[in-house]
Amino acid sequence: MTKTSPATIAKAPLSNRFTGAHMLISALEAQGVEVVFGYPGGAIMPVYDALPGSKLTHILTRHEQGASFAADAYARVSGRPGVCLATSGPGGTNLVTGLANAFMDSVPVVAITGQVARPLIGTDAFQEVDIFGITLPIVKHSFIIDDPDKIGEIVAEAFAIAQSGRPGPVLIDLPKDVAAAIMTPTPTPVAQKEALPILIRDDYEHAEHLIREARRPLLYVGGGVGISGAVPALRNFIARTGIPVVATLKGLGAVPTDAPEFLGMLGMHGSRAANLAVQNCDLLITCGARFDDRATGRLTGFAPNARVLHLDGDPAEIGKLRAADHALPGNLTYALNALHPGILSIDTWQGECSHDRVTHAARYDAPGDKVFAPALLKTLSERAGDDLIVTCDVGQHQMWAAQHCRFVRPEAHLTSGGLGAMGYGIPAGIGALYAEPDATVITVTGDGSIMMNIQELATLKRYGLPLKIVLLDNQALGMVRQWQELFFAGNYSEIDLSDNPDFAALARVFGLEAMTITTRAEVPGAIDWLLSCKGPALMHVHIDPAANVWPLVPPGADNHDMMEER
Amino acid sequence: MIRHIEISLESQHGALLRVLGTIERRGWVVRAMDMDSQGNDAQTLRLKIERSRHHSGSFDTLTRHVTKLFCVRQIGVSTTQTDECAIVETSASPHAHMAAVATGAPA
Repeated sequence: MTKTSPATIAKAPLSNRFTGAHMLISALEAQGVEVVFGYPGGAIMPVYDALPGSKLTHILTRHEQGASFAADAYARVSGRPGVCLATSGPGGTNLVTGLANAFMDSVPVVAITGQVARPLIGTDAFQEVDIFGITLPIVKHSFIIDDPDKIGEIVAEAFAIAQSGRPGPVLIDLPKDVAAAIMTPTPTPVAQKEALPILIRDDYEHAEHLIREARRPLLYVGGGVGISGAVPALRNFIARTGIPVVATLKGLGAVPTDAPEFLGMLGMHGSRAANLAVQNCDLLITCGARFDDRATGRLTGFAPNARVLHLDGDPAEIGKLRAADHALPGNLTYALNALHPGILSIDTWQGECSHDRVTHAARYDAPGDKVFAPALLKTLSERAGDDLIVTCDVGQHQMWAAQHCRFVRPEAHLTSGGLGAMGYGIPAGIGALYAEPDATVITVTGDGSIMMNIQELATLKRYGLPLKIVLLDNQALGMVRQWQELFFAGNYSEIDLSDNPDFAALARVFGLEAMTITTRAEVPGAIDWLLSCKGPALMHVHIDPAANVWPLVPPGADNHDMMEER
Repeated sequence: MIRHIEISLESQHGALLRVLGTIERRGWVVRAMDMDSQGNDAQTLRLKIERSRHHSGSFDTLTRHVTKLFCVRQIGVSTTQTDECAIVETSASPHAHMAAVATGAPA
């Protein structure tokens, strides 16, 4: 990977005087920031003037949304806050989807926006929008810096807030005159993460009692496990107890998908084994999950016979949608390590779960010679190895990746879970490659999603990023088409994409290597080719336009009422 | 269901909007409010709120979401569901130490 440092593409700063912008850069350096993703413009120009010569590597995306998604993915993989920069007005509004994505999926992102100068705020000045107000519902916190002397303090606080407790995005809006103000450098405090509470022994004893009493306990694992670094504690707990596991979309990888206790993803496109286990369990040990509607189906029919033991870092999630019989809010690692319920009598239950896992395992022997996307993704992920990171867009391909790829760690699966934002995949691949340059990073996308941020192919070329893109092309907005087929009497409305461009040719124009396949026989060679590419590459795969994602829990149904392939 | 809530807020940009927005987005309607200052750096906000008829979220869940806001210092709630404003239960925000973090003091 070639990293183009800002110093090589920009001239020296116009002024050697220390400004608010220099203070901002210094404060970012003090927080350990190495990479920022951004796009310059009028109100943020003092910051870009201060960038050359700093320790920060700036990655110029081709759209601010790309910068926000890249920062999000960088944070998910590195475990450190991702940083994005944009100017005022449209620069800020273009960050909004990325901030909402980080908010919904609890990702620590610090977004810095330029703002018009303080005297112009409220005058409808050129490129003035109230980005502070626009983003209030989708940030964990936000600041407007009205005093250059507060820059260091606010940056430190923003990083502390973004990382503490349940992580999330923080916005810093920086007026241009504050950034341009001449000031004296001051030391910047370093952010410290707020520690989550640790409960007393009595709380754990009651939880252990519930687990011992259960004959059909089940772990329901969400994204909170990976976010809080509780993966080793979870795996140790499973090794001690043998309790079967299901995971949400964001919980995938917390337990290796090929572990014997793992029954698959639950919910709308979950595996039959996972959904049956949820419906039949008598204790649901909810671990860093939030009873999202895509996971639960009809809430009142979800795990109908189960008590709930809820472990979560965010107390506000306890009892929000499903009452907990007992809760352990606080540090997940501590809680999982503290739970020692002893020998459990769950042999029969384990046998049932294992039987369902085998009996209802996905099949990869679909008839015909068209490319079968689930089989392709399964083989590709197995071939890529343990350092694989898959970044997804949103749609059918996203669900196929979740169902069929092999994941051995949470960072291996980056997906827009809560927001469901098409366009996430390629910029997320960029962010992942900066967080873990030696990983094999593969973006799985569709012909609808790729067009949402296709301009970032230019970013891949510019920085020589070896992102491997698998484009599953069904010439339609496939998930919408599937729902129109199943739930809207086949009234296909505005889903046709049969006039797509030649994606391989388009990728080559951007400077990527590219190939197109149309038949199943071509898959092994195409996978070999993709994995051997040293630079950015796109594998354009024509799939059956009628292919659907199975199983499917219809909206409003219970999770055991799954529709299967006809 | 009418509930009363009293919130001690940091005097910072957007604090009032942040609290009111959280309450409304979580399915509650503000029926009455008043606010006064507690000096230069804090404000007290008193609200009479009612759950939207299309929403079933609990009052406890709402107060936990409000408590999470970084501009909230302390929250008091009435224990009754009547029109009487009797604030008897209070909890401090878990974020009271954040200023110390920002100035480099031990958390």
